Amino acid sequence: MRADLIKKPSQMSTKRIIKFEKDDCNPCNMVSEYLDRKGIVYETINPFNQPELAMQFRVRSVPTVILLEQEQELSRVIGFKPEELSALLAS
Amino acid sequence: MVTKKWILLNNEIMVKNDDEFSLGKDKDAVRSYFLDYVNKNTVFFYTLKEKIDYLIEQEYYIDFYQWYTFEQMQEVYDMVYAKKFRFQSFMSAFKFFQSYALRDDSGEKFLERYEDRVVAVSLFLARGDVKQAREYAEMLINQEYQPATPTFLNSGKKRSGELVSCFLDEIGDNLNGIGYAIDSAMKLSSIGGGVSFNLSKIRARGESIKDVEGRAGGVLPIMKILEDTFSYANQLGQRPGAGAVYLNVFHTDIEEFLDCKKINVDEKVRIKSLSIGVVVPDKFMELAEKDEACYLFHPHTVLKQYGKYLDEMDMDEMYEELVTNPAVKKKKVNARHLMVKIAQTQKESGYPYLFFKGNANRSHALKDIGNVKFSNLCTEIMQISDVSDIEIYGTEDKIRYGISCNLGSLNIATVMDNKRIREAVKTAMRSLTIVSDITNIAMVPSVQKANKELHSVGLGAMNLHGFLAKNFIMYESKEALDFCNVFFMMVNFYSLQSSMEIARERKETFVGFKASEYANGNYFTQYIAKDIVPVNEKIAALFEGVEIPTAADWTQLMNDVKEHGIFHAYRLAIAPNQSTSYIMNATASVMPVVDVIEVREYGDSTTYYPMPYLNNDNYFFYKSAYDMDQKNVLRLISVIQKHVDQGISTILHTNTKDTTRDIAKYYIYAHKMGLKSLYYTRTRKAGIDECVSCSV
Repeated sequence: MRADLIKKPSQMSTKRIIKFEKDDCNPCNMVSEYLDRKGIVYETINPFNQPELAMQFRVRSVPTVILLEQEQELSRVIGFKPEELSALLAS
Repeated sequence: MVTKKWILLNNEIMVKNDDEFSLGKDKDAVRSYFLDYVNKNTVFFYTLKEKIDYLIEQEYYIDFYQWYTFEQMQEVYDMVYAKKFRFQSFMSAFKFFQSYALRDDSGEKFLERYEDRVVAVSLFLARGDVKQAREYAEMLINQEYQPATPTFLNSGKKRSGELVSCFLDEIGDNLNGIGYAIDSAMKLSSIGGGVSFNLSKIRARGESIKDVEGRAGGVLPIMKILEDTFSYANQLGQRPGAGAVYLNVFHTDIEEFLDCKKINVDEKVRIKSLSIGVVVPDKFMELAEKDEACYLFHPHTVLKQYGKYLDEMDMDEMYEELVTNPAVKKKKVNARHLMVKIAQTQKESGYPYLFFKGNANRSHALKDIGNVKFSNLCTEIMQISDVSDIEIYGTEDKIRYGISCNLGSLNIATVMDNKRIREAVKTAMRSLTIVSDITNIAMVPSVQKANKELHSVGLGAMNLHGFLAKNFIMYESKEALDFCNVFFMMVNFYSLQSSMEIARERKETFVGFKASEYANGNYFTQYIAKDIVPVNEKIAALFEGVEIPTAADWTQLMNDVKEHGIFHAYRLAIAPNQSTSYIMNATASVMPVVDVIEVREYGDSTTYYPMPYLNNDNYFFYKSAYDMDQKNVLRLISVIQKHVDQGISTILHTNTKDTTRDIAKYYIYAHKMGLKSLYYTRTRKAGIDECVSCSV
């Protein structure tokens, strides 16, 4: 119990998930649904509104979910692929 | 079905490796298109001399020897070929060879490459001046400037159409006037012209003829005749004629004018191929904004009361007077409902265009000479016009101004890269002037008179979005506004300076110069008070090494203009460009792109056109116009508009979820921001299969 309480904020401070998406994009919505159902906190970015970020992360299409630790990329999933997403969340 | 190799290569663009499109494949497609198709189908000549002589003897080219020796021509050809021009995308090459390259009479073999077309245009427009020909050729082969299609296609050819293709005229409210319009429509259409007419002076349906009430047929029957006229005179069946008609929003026929574009309307009143535009005075926008009643007027009763056409009145001044005058017949509607009806018609058909008369005239440099009353097929031409009095045989007609315009576009990306804004603008102005000089539309005297006396041209620009994306600047950003403000100020400066220099050389100004805002200096007010310079660092870097005209330079120019006058009554207008932007590897006009990779169907094959300068890094800088806040687009256009004496073809991109109310809000915003017109409204159909950037 106590360990959990300590773990969570530390995880939050070093790891984060960002998701590149756009409106009217079905696979993007499916990824969001998947993440929401698991209660995952993530940041959404529309690459057409923030192309500099898309460039920085070399995003080529949406949806792209990227797991970061201390701003270093650990893994990414392109498109709606539940197995890969669950692997990303487990890492 | 044998699918062509170059098409297959082009289609491989869409194959994704590591989540990246194979954009490099397009270059392979261009190579294959040349090796496997163009080269095999090009007539081979052993020497340049043999080629030139053949083309002249076989009556493909005019006799260039009347102006140049062979050595002089060779000099221009050598310079152009030495540039080693390569098409940047398959679509550019395909468009050129499909629509522009000269073919033999069988239509099967090519007689020209891109380089040859560039030289032919240059030799033709330079009229024997080799130095000038070299300047034209350098600008064209650098792809810094592109003449409008009729000029690029027809220059130098022995058997060809006209160099200009954009005409406008008024229609007088009598049978002679209407007959003159129909006659003009037929003749101009037969030479490939797009013609726009102002119907606003025509009496409304149900008005009196010779004081017998209820006899007039209104504007719709004239539209029907014009539509048939354009489709009849169709350039030997090669291309359908194109026409547009404008009507003042205060004309009582306005509702049926709009209804003619509805899909579910009776065939008898439906207008299919004729484009329509609405003339919108400020007063109407004011009534709509205040949600007030709006009176429509029977124009003939107005003319009888005041001796002046409704269309020529300042409605801010006259509206209340017309409302209270019982002798003026009128109809009451709700202004906002009428505006929503316009939006509804646009949602259904893309039409009507809107012409904001107040904005077009407020900054009009010839305001003391006359008003701008309507616009053309692409809503970028804004010039004075005046209705001619056409009389019966034996009585002399009083011919007044129609409008003739010849256009061309700068390629923003190449002139910026080559740091040749000044050179390109000035050379482009020279070439447009020559086109105006050698154009003589004698068959329509009002158009001929305008061209002879006003020498109007319309220099525009393309590749704005391509240039911005290439430099990692977002179309909707503040940086883009900053860039446009400086760039178009410079275009304005050099075009004006060029016009002044031409007037000085020829000792001739356009007719009426002395009464213009150029002569009294008012035109220069926004420029002489303070310098226009890039505010943003990133933009300043783009202009590094380029001399930007200062307020002092503008003051000098003002004085030079006062002394020598200018040659052109109108200089700048930004056209929509279609085919020409493909050839130039440019995004069309100053509009945002619609797709990152455009999909086009040609016959039995699908081809892909990646936007100019697209690579896997700058991909998201090509945001679709449909995904943009239209207010950001309108804001950018309003900045450009400040430096453009005529208009800018501005397309609204909306989605199915946008309501007519949303569209009406864009009208109000566009009007407030000083835009002079709105061209089509396009609506994107909702669908998931169109998402090129989505990964499934």
